[in-house]
Amino acid sequence: MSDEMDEIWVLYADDGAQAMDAMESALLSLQDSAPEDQPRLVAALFRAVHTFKGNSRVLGLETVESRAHLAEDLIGLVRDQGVALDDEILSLLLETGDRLREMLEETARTRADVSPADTDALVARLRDKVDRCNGTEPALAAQDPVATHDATVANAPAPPPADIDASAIDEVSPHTPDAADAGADAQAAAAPEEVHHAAPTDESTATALASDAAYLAIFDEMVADALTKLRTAESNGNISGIARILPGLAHAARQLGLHIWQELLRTLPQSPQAKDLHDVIVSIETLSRMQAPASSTSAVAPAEGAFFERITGALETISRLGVNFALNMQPNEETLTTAVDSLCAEADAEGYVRVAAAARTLPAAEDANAFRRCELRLYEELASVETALGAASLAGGISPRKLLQSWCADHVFETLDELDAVLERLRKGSTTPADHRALERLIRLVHYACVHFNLDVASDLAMSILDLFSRGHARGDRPDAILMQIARGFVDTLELVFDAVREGETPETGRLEELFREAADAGFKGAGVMTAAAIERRLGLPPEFHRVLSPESARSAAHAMEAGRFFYLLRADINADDVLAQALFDLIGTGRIEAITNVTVFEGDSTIFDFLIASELDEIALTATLAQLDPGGRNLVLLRSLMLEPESPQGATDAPETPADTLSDAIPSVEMSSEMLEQLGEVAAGQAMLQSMLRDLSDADLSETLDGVLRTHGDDLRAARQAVRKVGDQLTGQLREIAQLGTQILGHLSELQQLTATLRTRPAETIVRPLAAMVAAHSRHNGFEAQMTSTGGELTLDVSMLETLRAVLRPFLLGRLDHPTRAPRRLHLAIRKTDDQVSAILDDDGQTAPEPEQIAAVEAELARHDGNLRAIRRPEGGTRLHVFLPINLVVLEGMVVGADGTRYVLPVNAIRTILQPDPAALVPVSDQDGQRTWLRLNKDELVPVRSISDSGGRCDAGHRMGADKRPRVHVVLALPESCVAIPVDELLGQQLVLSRPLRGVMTGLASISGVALLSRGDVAMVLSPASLCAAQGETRLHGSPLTH
Amino acid sequence: MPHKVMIVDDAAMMRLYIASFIKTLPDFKVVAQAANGQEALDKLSDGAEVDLILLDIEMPVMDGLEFLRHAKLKTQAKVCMLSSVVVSGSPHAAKARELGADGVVAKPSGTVSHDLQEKTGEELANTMRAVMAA
Repeated sequence: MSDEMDEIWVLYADDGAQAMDAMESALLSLQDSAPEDQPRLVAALFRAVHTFKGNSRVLGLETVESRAHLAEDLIGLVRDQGVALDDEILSLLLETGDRLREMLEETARTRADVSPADTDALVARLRDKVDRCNGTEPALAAQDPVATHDATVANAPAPPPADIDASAIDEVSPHTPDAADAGADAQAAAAPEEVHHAAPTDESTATALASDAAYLAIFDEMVADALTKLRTAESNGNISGIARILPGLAHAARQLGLHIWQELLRTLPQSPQAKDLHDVIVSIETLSRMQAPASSTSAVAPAEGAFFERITGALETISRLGVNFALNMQPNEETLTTAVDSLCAEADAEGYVRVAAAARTLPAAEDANAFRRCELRLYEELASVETALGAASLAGGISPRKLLQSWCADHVFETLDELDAVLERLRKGSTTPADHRALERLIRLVHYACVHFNLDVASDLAMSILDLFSRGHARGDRPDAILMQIARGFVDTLELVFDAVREGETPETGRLEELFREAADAGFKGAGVMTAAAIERRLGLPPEFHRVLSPESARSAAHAMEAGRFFYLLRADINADDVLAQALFDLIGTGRIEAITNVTVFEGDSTIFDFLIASELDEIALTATLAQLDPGGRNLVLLRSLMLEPESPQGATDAPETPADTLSDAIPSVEMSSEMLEQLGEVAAGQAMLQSMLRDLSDADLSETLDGVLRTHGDDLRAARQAVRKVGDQLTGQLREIAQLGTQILGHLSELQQLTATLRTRPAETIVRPLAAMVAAHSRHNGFEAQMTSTGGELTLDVSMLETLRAVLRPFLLGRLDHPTRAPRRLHLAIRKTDDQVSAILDDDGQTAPEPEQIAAVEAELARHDGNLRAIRRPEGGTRLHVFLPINLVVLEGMVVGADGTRYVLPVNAIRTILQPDPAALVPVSDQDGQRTWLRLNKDELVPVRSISDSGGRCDAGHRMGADKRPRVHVVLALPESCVAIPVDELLGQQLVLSRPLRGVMTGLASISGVALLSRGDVAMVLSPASLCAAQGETRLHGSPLTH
Repeated sequence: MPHKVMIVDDAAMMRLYIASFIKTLPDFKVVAQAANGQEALDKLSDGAEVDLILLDIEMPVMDGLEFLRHAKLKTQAKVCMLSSVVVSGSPHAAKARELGADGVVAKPSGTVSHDLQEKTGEELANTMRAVMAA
């Protein structure tokens, strides 16, 4: 036996012993636990047994697995079905635990399954208890759980991938609707069919129908409407318009399963003549009185004859052929055609044209994948029918919606992988129209899988993300970084959620709720405006105005707030009065009032609109204005004026507080967006003024003005001197104003740059946490436990940087975790950030080096972003991956300095002090490498002096003086571990700069992290304090005995 | 041949705005209007030939989501939701997608958006074309 198998058996024994300990501990605690502790203990008990069962299955120990499965079923009834945990169950489970432990020890020793006969009696007692708790006949459940599992899997529309734990899915949804499958193995076929049917009984169907008030109300209205029309026809003798009434009523009765109505309508003439009308009306009136549909559960049709029942056979055939196709068995053409024709005939008869169209694509499918896509489309169309018709329509037939959901749940990991790949292509901008279609389809499939597991937030979020992508695609936009981040977060989180579901654990969905809020705000963030929630809060809008503000409306409201307008709610009953409606909109067109948004209010059959308006008019003036349009005051009513609340310090939204380490915390606050708008407004206004001043200047003819002055003074230059000077002064004054304005505009633009950069940042935690969770989940999936710790998660990085790190680290980690025995168990990810680069250092204790292809893939991805990689095997074992990425486009507060005729920018936050030292404070020190200069900051501290232009990091006494022989100013830079003094010729002032990365040959410049454009148009080098400090060996001395 | 459009919206003014906007699009033509989902269904069952339905959500008698269920069964016409309650990320938008809306566009300023053409005209036209091209 191989070493690996040895290790697996050792792991099995260890894990099994732990699981059994946990089971025993939970059971003992449950014996005298408080009621509030019971759910936690039962959950722990379930997990322990579930883990043990899974491990047994991995090693093919069917008997052990089936016994654990029965115990798990019993615990599941307590956990999920409200079965009381009585002494009998506790005793039975304690005994089962003992027997499972014995089996564990035996199987670990013999490496073979145990004899089933030894535990037959225990199995019988467990089954008996499960049956009694279920309220079913013992014979019904007297089947091996393994058989149930196999039968369920065999009946699925397509086989699950080998790595998906289908039994776990069964556990979450034990009543997966399946029809008997002729292809199932004998064991499965022998299982009682009732187990596989979840279709509602007649009684439950009737109950579902009776509770569907919307459909019944529609039917009531249809009956009343039919009677009105029939009576009218009877009274005026005109039967031309009634031919469609009774067939329509019959169709509706059939859809709703109203059997008695169907019977009655079958006996009546479909196109009644005048002579028939009286009898028809009396019949309908009589039944209407006797069988008020809303209270008539007895009117529900029996299970026969419904659409879904009629297509069950054809659907089963198609499903089976799909399964066989996936196993490389070509579908029998005649069988497939017969099934499709049969299904199409039924669909056509009902007018379900999309269903028929989808079914007709099946015979053309050339391979299993194409067949699978056609099959999916058919299920989706049928699911639409089911959605419209309601549960009652199923009768005894198959539920395509559940079939579809179950299918999607079985394949959800494949779907998520495909989705991840499409998202990656989107991110790289290499998508095709087919990718967009695939994206929508995949998100929809994920949605169905979420519905299958009752993951409501996840299913809603899936459709919201689909909505956001679809809108962007329709507009021809590329998905923005925020949406990509949400989608990526969604995929990552769902992998964990489904993994938790698969593991029998309660999934953590808090992250999904955060993403849902982000999705709701994505449109607003993308448009750079206040979120709808912020507007709602500040104006105190009533609930009917919640979640209806479009980004355009929000922008209008924000502008109106900033302009100090008044806000009102105005009710307008204008739907039936085009003149008044036009007058109102004309008033809006004048700009005196602005319609921010409006909602519909239904009063009976009337449609009324409540407008949120902003106006410069106060309440009295507005009322007077409206009175001019509607003197009676009946159609335009000012409901209330709204008081503007101040922006809350925490800003943003009404969303509940979230933990500080979540992504939503990093979403820029609403103040920031507002501030950006303000800055933009300032820039626009300043630019307009600048244009105006320049235009005035260019319009003025200076020569002509001077000629005029001279003429006035008789061409006597001396006499005109004062006047000429005045003209010059005026011109100088205008130019100064322009220069000042230009500086102001630059200031606003710099602010805007910084705000924009902030808007694009997220904490590194955003990717670190999901990666850590993925490591834990993926390792569990592969049969071992690995953990990844991290540091630096609090650092804020640009979203594109985070995307790149994630794109690099995720596949690398997955690759490292693939090997069950040699994969790392402990990993540590450290994120670091300097002025010019971000590094991610991943240490692990894996027993093998990464595959060359893995390293090559990481290098290739990094190369796309000008990054680089260093991978080393650590002497003590394990691997260190060092990823470097340059920081692009950093906005920083910089001190502009001049040295040796060149402009430089030093990050202000790294400056400790600036001083012009006394010559005596500059201390030359000799060492083996020559002489270097140190600056004495105080009596105890010396720091090295480093010339910017000296790449060797040396600075001699000559640097005390600048080129103009004046003493140089020294800027002392301080980092946590180091310090350096930089001599400069001049300080040119502080300003915000946008640092861009170095390109080409400039990348080799020592201690330079980027270039920046200064406000006067000069180009400056941005210095890297980290590099400057690092270039010095010993960088700080405290009271050291130095040799002068 | 221009695509035939039905407008389903309970606000008379809004139907006018939408119709007047569609007149500016040479590849679309309004052939029918309805004030609610039921009226739209009636017109379809009476034989109205429609390629694209622009559908509001909040309407009396039969709302847009309910109509969408029926329309998906009984017509091959594409359906584009045009409503004030389908702003990005809203539950209605998600529901409309779930029920199979081919396109979703939010009215720019409420149920009666007099500024539809000005603010959302391009997006609506692009979405209508994308839906018909799909």
